[in-house]
Amino acid sequence: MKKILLLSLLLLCILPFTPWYIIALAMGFNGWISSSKKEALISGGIITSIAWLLPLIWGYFSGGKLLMERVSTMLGIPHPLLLICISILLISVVGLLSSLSGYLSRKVVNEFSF
Amino acid sequence: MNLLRYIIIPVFTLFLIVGLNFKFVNIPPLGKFLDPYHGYLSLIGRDDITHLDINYAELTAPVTIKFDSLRIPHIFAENEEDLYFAQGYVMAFDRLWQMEFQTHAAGGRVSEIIGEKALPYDRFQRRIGMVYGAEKGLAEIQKDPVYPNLLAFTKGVNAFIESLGVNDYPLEYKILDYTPEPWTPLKTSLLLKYMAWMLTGQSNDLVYTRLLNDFGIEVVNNLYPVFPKDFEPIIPRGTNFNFGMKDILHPASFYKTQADTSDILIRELVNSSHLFNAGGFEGIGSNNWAVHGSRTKSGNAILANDPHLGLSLPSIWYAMHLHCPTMNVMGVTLPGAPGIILGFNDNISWGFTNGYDDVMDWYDIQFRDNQLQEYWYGNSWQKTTKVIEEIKIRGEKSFFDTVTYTHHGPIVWDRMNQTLPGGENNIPNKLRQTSPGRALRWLAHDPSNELRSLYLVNKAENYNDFVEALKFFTCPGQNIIYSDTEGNIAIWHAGNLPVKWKGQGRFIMDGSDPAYDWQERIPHDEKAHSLNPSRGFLSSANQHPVDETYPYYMSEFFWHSYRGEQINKRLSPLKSASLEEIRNIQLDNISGRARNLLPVFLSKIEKFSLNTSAKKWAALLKEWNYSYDALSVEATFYDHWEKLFEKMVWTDNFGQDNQRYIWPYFNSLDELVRYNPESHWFDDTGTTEVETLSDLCYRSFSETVEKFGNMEKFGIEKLQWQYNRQTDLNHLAKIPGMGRINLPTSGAPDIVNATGETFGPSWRFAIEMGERKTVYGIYPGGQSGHPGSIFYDNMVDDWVIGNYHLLSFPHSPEELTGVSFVWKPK
Repeated sequence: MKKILLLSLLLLCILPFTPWYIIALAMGFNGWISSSKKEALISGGIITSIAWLLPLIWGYFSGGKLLMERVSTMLGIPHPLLLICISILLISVVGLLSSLSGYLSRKVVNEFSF
Repeated sequence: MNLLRYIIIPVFTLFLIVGLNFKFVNIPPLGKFLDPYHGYLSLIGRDDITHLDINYAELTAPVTIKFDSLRIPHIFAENEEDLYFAQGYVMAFDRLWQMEFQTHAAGGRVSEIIGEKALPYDRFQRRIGMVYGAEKGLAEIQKDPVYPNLLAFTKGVNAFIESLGVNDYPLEYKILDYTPEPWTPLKTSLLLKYMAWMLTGQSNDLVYTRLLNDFGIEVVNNLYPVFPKDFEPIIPRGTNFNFGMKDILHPASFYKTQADTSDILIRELVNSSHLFNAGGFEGIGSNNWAVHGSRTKSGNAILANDPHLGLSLPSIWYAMHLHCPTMNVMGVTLPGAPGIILGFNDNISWGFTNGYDDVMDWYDIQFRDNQLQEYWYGNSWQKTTKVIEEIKIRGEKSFFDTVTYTHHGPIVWDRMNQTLPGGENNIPNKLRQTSPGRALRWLAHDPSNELRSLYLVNKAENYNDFVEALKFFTCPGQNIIYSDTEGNIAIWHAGNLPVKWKGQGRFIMDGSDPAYDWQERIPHDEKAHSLNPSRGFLSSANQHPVDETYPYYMSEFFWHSYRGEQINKRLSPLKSASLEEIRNIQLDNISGRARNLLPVFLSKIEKFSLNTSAKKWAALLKEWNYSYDALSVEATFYDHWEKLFEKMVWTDNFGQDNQRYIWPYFNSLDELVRYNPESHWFDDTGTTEVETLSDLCYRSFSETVEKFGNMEKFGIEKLQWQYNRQTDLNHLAKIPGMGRINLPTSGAPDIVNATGETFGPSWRFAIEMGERKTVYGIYPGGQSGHPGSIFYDNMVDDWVIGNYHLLSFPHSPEELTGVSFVWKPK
């Protein structure tokens, strides 16, 4: 839990200044330090969701609703809240896959003793 | 095997991340785009004008910018250079992407943004000499005192671009995944040429030649007349033209070329571009009128203007007020053009309608061989010039296209299907483009300086200044209406038009004979114009500018005068008009076509036995006031009936409209129905019987009744015009969700309120002159180009229902309430 909070906070602090895919590196690290595949997957999904959900919600309620409506229509999504959900889904897939990749990478290193 | 099990997920993840970082077909790079820190959400609040609270070293004195409630910027500077700098900066703040995209489209650079699918479009733009014309135009501007203003404007735009971080790029850059580049004076020149293309790019030479070859000159003259019967010219009949036509070379014999059967009209070619809102020619037109002070309630002249153009979001126009010690002007301009294009200043007001002059002609060229190095002209071989155009393509190698130029202009096509959007399969009915080896002569290729003309109009203090300014207006030819604070009104058919012998340029011409060249220009004081006519008002609606007594031949095509007639009908009885009365004419929905034809149609079907439903419709139409109001069901019925009737008359002889031929103009059909009801054109040549006008009226009426009888089941209100013909404001790049569609507009083409499916009044403007001016204006859009802004489309709903906004024209920032900023030199 502490790890999730810490990494979420870290991402919230660094993502405004880095490209979006830095999230994958961070989650790779998260997976690397995870003790199980399950932990890597769950924590990866949760941390990335938090890292995007907060600014998305903030954006929606601070003048971004109109823009989100237009972007939703552009992408064929019927409602901006669904756009938020899809954005979260997308980044959490990236997060959990990155986290799993980190976990598997450590396994490879351990198993094949590179 | 075990290793593979461990690697497959990381590799897949890597591919996913890379994939999400790049644009795929029409899908933006989702990772970058949806990223709430740097993607589209980073634009929240970017349209907030507080971002304009800045200081600039480039300024020489303080500049005050104040925004009114419509977010129109009022810029107060102490000199012109600072004024244009601020104009560039503020315009880019609101419309940067639009400014740049339009110039990419004009200059044939869309492939750089969206890839190879735009290559045919880009090749077409290059091959018609758009860049060639823009460079010539810029060379003229560079020699002129207005050039420093253009440079200051350019600096302003670039100062804004330089202030942007990646996060700040307007939404469309994020969707299309590219970045803005520095603005240049050439881009402004390109934009003006793009407008010239939009307004003069209609060429009928090919189809007229084909009609001539297939039907003979009599049919061309009768069905496609230069002067329609009973038309109302712009310059009032009876105006004395006390000069003769200039002496020019006439050809010894009439040249007749083959319009090969595989040709396609240019306008078809352009309209088939589905990549973005390039704008077709159908529906392009405008209205303007002015009423002399002697016929208004206040004694002040009143002027109104509504240009009908392709509609899109962001809107084609941007409203501004520019003030400095040498200038105080307000109105709308094209994003990317300095100054004001349509508007008013302290002393005068003006507005445009398209002139529709034939300033685009085609010449047959006889080349010495297929190297296209030399061509036959004036009894000798002349050298051509080759221009190599590099077209950069996103993600691919550049494409190099060689364009051959003669003294007439570029050889647009030197082989078949060279520039067809979508390739050969995209052509309706297997039609082909103009055959190879023909040169395009286009007025917009000539050196010209419309910026100087606009600059002088912006500063004009009286009629003489205005007339002097129009000397520099070359292309596109416009009917420019004028009024001033003295109560004067005037109209000029402006443009540096060639002197043509009668019929010159109507058909494809002989490129080897100098007698077919454009030899002279109409002298400025002999251009069609009128000042303070005795009738007390002037108007134009794209009809023929003059009657048969004008010494110069103008063009083979002008719009019929339905709109012009209706405007004059409304203006004539006004002896003490108010601004509201004059302004509201813009919203007139009466159809002149229906007024002329419907009584005849109804009389022709009377002799037939009608069923109950048919009787009901006939009774409804008998009571109809010919108004294409949004709520009218009669308009929907009549419109369908009229179109069906027109189709029945022409299809047997001319096929589908705009394919092998264009159908005769509607006024020809109107004339046949009213004055020549026994015409053989009413006979359907596909049947053994001889059909009459009555037969076709009844047949088309019955089919319409049948169609509408079925639709009535869903409720008669579903037949209202607003549900059957709506107006779409698509996004300029046709990005879904960024436009406003299915707008329930009133009006139709050939009606004063000339709305269409994708075009309409792009700016409705009316002004009462005088010391204090009362000004109304509205356009379908909003000042901001940011789709997330409430000012992106805030005027659309009012525009649909015909509301106007009262515009503020303060003489100092203190006279206006609103947010203001003072920029100081650093």
